[in-house]
Amino acid sequence: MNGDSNESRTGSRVNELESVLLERARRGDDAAFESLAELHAPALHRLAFSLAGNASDAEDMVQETLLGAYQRLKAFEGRSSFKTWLSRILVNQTARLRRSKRVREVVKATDFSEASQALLKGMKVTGLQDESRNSEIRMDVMAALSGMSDEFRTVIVLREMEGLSYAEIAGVLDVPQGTVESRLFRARAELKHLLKEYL
Amino acid sequence: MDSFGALNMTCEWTNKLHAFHDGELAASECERVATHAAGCAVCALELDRLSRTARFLKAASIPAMRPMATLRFRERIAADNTARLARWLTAAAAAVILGCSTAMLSMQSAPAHSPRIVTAASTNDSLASIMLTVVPGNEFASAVESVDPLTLAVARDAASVRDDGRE
Repeated sequence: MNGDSNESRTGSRVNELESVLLERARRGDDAAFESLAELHAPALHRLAFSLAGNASDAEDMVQETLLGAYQRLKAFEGRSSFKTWLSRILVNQTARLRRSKRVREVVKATDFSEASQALLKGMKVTGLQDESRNSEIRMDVMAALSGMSDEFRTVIVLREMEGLSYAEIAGVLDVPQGTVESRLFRARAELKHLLKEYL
Repeated sequence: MDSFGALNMTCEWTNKLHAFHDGELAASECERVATHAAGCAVCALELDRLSRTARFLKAASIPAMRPMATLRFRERIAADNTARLARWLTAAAAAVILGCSTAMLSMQSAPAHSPRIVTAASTNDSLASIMLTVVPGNEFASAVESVDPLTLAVARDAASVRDDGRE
């Protein structure tokens, strides 16, 4: 309970700081925009990595997203949160990148590491903090996501990995909440099919 | 029950299970779904699958962004500002050159009687803002060829009114 109220106080301080920085950035203060970028870059990078599947593309996507936001900052009307707005730009950048690369891999679930297989079968995985094991699981997750269509992968990443609510996902994808629900349902069915060896 | 065999089995509550798993249901509905799932093998298995898949996806520890990437971003902002300034300066220089050239040309080729530019305004939108060059004697020297007779008449009237006012 106490932890929750501390968290909400921290959250509101971050929001206040973000509003101040946004206001200054919109008046042309580049240092304020850089602070905003630093505030959001880690989360954007995590999302970009999950969508792109590799660090190099993820960093490029974050760069493009932040530059795009910098150039269009005056167009941001505050109808959604700044984070949602940035995520929307990034998702659009990713779709463009994937279209240009035409990436879609065929997943061979039998190639998954023992740790991933154990996780999917609901078994206990020992030594999860081991770096090489983490790296194996990460590669397996990326392989599974890579086998999905862009539309479905995006909604799965936003929900399962970023923990966004349906309303927040609707804001990022600029679609009604009902569309999010049905898309998520179909995405999970596709993922279930990809991972059927273990589920 | 074999999980693979039950892969495609469904229950009418399946749709609600996803919202339940995602914490998107109201408290009262949560209770109903939980009570149902406790007694339904298909829904219990589906909920278990949702949890295992979520756990697998969340276990992917995404590496942090390299500090170099932030530096690259700063460089790109600086480059963008430089490019913007260069574009602005080019446009400003072009405007100055164009302005000077026009002024010099008009000084060199100014006729004895300079033509006056007359704007024929009309309340009718289709006739609004027609620019016609008028030479002394109230003749339309370079009227737009495609202007229809009605437009021309309105413009001529406006020109004569303007001329009357000035001379």
